[in-house]
Amino acid sequence: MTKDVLVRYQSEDGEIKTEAFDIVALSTGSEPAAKAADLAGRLGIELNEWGFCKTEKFNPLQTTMPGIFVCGTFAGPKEISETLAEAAGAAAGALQFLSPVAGSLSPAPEYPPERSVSGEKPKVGVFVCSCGEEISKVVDLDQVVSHAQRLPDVAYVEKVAYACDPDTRKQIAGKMNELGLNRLVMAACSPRTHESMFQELLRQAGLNSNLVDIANLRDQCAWVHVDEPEMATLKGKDLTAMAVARARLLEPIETYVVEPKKSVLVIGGGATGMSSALAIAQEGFGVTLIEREAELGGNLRRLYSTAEGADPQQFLKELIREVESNDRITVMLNTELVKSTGSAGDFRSTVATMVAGNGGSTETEIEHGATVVATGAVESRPGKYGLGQDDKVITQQDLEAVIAQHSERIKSANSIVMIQCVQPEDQAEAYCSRVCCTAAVKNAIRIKELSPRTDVYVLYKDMMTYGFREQYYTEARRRGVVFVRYSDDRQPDVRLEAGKLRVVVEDPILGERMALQSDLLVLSTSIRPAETNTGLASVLSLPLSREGFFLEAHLKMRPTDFVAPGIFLAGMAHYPKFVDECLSQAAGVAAGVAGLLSKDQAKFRGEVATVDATKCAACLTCVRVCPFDVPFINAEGVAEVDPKKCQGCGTCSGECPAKAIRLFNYYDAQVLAKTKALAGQFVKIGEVAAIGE
Amino acid sequence: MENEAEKSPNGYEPKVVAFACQYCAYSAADLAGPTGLQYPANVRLVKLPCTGKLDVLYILDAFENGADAVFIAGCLDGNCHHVEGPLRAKRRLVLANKILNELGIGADRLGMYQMSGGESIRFVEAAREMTDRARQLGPSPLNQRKSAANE
Ligand SMILES: Cc1cc2nc3c(=O)[nH]c(=O)nc-3n(C[C@H](O)[C@H](O)[C@H](O)COP(=O)(O)OP(=O)(O)OC[C@H]3O[C@@H](n4cnc5c(N)ncnc54)[C@H](O)[C@@H]3O)c2cc1C
Repeated sequence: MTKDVLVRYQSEDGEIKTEAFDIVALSTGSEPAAKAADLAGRLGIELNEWGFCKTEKFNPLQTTMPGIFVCGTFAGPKEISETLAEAAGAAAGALQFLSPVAGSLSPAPEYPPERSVSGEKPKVGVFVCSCGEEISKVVDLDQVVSHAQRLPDVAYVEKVAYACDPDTRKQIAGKMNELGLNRLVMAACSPRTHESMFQELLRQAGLNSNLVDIANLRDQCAWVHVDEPEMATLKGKDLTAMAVARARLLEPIETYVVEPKKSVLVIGGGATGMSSALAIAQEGFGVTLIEREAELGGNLRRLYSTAEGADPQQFLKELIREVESNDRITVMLNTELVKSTGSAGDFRSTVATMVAGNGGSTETEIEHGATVVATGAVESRPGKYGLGQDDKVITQQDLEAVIAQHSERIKSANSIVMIQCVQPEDQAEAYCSRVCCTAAVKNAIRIKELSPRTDVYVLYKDMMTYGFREQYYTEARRRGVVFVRYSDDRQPDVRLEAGKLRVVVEDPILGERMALQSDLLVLSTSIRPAETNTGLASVLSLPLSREGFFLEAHLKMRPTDFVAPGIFLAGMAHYPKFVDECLSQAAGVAAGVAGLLSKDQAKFRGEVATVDATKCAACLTCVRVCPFDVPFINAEGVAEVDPKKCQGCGTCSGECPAKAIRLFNYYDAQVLAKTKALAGQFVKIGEVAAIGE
Repeated sequence: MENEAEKSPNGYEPKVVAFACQYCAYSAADLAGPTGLQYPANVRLVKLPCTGKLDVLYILDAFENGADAVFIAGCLDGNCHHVEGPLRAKRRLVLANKILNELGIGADRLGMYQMSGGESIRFVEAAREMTDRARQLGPSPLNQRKSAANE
């Protein structure tokens, strides 16, 4: 007898099938924690009818008790990234009450005193991370380890499973100490995402944070050479050797303390941009809010009702009033970002405002400590099913306006058909626009409220009214809305016959063709990224997803951050979502901004250019080429660079004819160490000066 | 040398070195995996703070140490974090091309590509194009000379 589980089910074509499985996993629903009711009672907060925390549509993190905020699955089933955005947002909510004392109790992390390594011979510790199996399933790490053991000045090599794990980092710091290692090489993930973590590890070990180089074995090796394990292993060895070669030559860095600019640039004046501007202003920071249209509001201007019953137009009016009357917020309409330079705490941007009438524009320079991207998304208008050709074919957003402003059109209709999941032909990536199912169900109910006799058909592929929104689907059915499924290979067929719309659809469940007369055909079309995203992403050097939305730093853990410090993301610019989800993210962003700007002093690492006065001929090349006008000829008649102003690009050092300028961390010897390592060449310490430094 | 033999498991496998700006190309390369892209494992990146830091010496040194092709990957014109890094890099490439031709290595082994930090596809295209080119051109003359000397 096998211990298989037999599952009997009915397939779509009606056949009863029995299949054997080894394991059956049940996706069960989630329910409030057992003691939720207890806790709510003690806190005096109300629960909703399912026993989850009660919140309002346009105030999603606020419980019914002022001063108590909620986040995560206690407010409804949701996934990790939403939970984390809400957690930050709830923290921002709490901060409103605490702003006078914020930060006063948070202790600066304590590190052991920094041990000087000057005069010591390099003693490199190499830690090879398998990242679970992310790296090791492609790259043969045993080979990398034994290769590393043979490299010059390598005193210790160890394989670890997760270098980012706090305990592992502590153990690595311990090893550094125990063995007197003075350089660290992590053969792991990308320095872009994890360098600061390993720099901190060194501080824990009592070493200067700069003495680390990272071999990017995950993002630039294992993940991109999945089908070439042998070649990937060779590359992994090379990358590790290159990192060791440079690590040997690394020097301790100085940090400079700089006051961050206490103001924020918010791009996009929709619900998300406005509400994050307000929350940031409440924290005491100045905000410049730029909107490319002539009006604030974005998609909220075209939203006339919500399934939950809250009135979006009322909310919008109040939001605009609050934003416009807030002294800390400057609103600039008809305005777009054209340039942005600098780094977290100290950005300098140029925005261009269209001048009405003459087609020209004026430019304004803005200094700011942080940037928020809230550029939203748009409902697409593909030329499908007669959209744009016949005024009886409209989109879901058009329908909102018809219901709100021309209800006679609804009342006179005998039949209204909706088609879900309408994607433009040129849309490369299929994705779910998340809000359309609920929007359709909501509008179907409104139609039935206005005109119970009107037949409403919703042609769908999959109804996704997730969370508590399921109740509206049930209600729509109760009111007689008919839901008909269609499949991708049998899309509905729409014809105009004698001035009437005829929609033919084949139900894959019943296997029947239905022909529907329709007075109004409503398309739920894909919500697409804002057209200006590509340009904006390029100005800000930010990544976009394959679908063209902005791509956050980490899909789960950092939903409202970009990898670039000081730039934040919220709302539909991230992907299509409901207003309440946008508002939670907007609040989360305000917390991120406060974390960055409320520190009175931000520390900047001195990755800056320095001039060797003995070599400088005062030829003015550096003065001429620096994009930020930093170098100047000092009283001694030689060039000088102010480390607090230097942006660390190295242009001056690349151009200096006398090679009198060098850029910290990118000394020629340090860069060349990497190329030389490719051929197994390692400079002798002490001979560095011989190759041009 | 043991290293050399080890590096050619199936005949000639070109070695391609990319000098990549940390703001754009390095990030574009990082994002290739998560956006479902793959590129040849022949490519090794060296991170620069900006292509404005590029030195002709770096390119020559890469060839000297076994590269069969080299490419520079920087920001789009007008979009450099440091304003005009790629413009400066392009000017330095003119000199580098001249030297490579004079040395008999050939300027066609050197390329320059521009992309934003999110355009992993552009990085992948650059990596494929330069690897293909190195395959077509065969081992760099410097490497041919070295292996001849070794025999
Ligand atoms: C068809 C449809 C139905 C919906 N139904 C519902 C519903 O029933 N319930 C619900 O809760 N939500 C619904 N939503 C979602 C809701 O509209 C959004 O969640 C919300 O309006 C998004 O706000 P936002 O600020 O993130 O983006 P947007 O509203 O898109 O605002 C972005 C703003 O940024 C501006 N902008 C864009 N690019 C730039 C730039 N480069 N520079 C300067 N400014 C720029 C735009 O002009 C716009 O004003 C629906 C959305 C759609 C499309």
